[in-house]
Amino acid sequence: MNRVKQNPKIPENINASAENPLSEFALMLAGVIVAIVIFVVIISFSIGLLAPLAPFSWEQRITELYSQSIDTGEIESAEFKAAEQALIELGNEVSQSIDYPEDMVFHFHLMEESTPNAFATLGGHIFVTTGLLRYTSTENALAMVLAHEMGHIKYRHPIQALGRGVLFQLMAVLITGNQGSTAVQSLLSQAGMLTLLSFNRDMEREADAEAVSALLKRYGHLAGSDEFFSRMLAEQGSTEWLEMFQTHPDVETRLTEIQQQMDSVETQSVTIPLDVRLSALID
Amino acid sequence: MDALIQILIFVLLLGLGYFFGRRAERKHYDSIRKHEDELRHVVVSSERTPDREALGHDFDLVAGSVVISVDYFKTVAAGLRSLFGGRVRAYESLLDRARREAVLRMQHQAQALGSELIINTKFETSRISGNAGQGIGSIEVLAYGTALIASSK
Repeated sequence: MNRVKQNPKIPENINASAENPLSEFALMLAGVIVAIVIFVVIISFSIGLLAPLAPFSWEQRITELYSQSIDTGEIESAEFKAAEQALIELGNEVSQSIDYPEDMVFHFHLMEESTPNAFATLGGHIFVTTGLLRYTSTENALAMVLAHEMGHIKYRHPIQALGRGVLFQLMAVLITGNQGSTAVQSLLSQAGMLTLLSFNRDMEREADAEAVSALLKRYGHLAGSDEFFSRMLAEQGSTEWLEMFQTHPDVETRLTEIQQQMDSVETQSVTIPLDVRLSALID
Repeated sequence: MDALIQILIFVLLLGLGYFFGRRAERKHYDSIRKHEDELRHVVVSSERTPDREALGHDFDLVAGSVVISVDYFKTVAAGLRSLFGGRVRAYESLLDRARREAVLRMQHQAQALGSELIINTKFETSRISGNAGQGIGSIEVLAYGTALIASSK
């Protein structure tokens, strides 16, 4: 054996590739995202078909467990209780203009919270924040918000959202299993979240349409119904609006749609002022 | 909004990982090549027994160990790779660097002992898991061998 006197120069790029990792990364990322989007679309579509078939009483049974904790909050002032009562009365009146299944029940709640928001959840529970009242100077505007949320419940959107969320989490765990890094898992859920958001837009439209028809039925016109959206849009820069943006995307488009319908109906109509019990709470 | 912020953070981490990871890798390769040239006279072989002319030499154990951390970009790239299968190129360069650096350190040690030949070179690789058991945190590569030292007598 002849001993070498020097270490040979190792040729580069045999054990490691000189290729830029970005192109490989982009290709894999695109592949994963396409797969996720397809999967989420299929799942969401089938949930949209199946979830409304679940009896409403199932939803109620889920929320019964939590309704106790909703009620036992802080000690509410008499003023707040009166305002909540006014909200419940208005909600019940508006619900008469909505055609909903017999077994469905609406529960209205007022929330001490400065962010203007309203949401509907399982079991027919509708929450309105006190912050939202600052954006609704007329009964018509508040009725629009309430009718919109009742529209969500009528079309069983909360249970669809729940079903999609659960299935989506399940999928993320199934795909990545224990091997996938947390980073990839969060990536997957982000891709899915965005797909779900676009589905929510359709839900918002559906609820808007229901609200518009309910208001037409109740007041005979749509005057004042766009107030909440207009005023939210006017404050686009504020963080409150940004928060609103995540649950209610596309505010501008929806506002235009509502305003178009307003134009088609008679506009020389008078709005009804907000109940004093509610307006008292704003100041 | 929440989703948007999370995506931004993710992209930022990815960008930082890519930028600094690439920079560190380029610098490391430059330094590896430079030191390999400097230490070319310390011959590293995998021969298990010394050849005839080295029979009277002293010998000593020499070792070089390196710990290298993976960056965020590599972690994500490897995570995606684990869905598709195939060569994990992101980790290949990492291990290549670690192996070559470990050999260099072993050569340094041999040089300090006055040796110009290391035989029976072996490698060990282990993972230092510091990432709550998820993915690879950092790796250690250990190179060790027998340095033959020409006796002074």
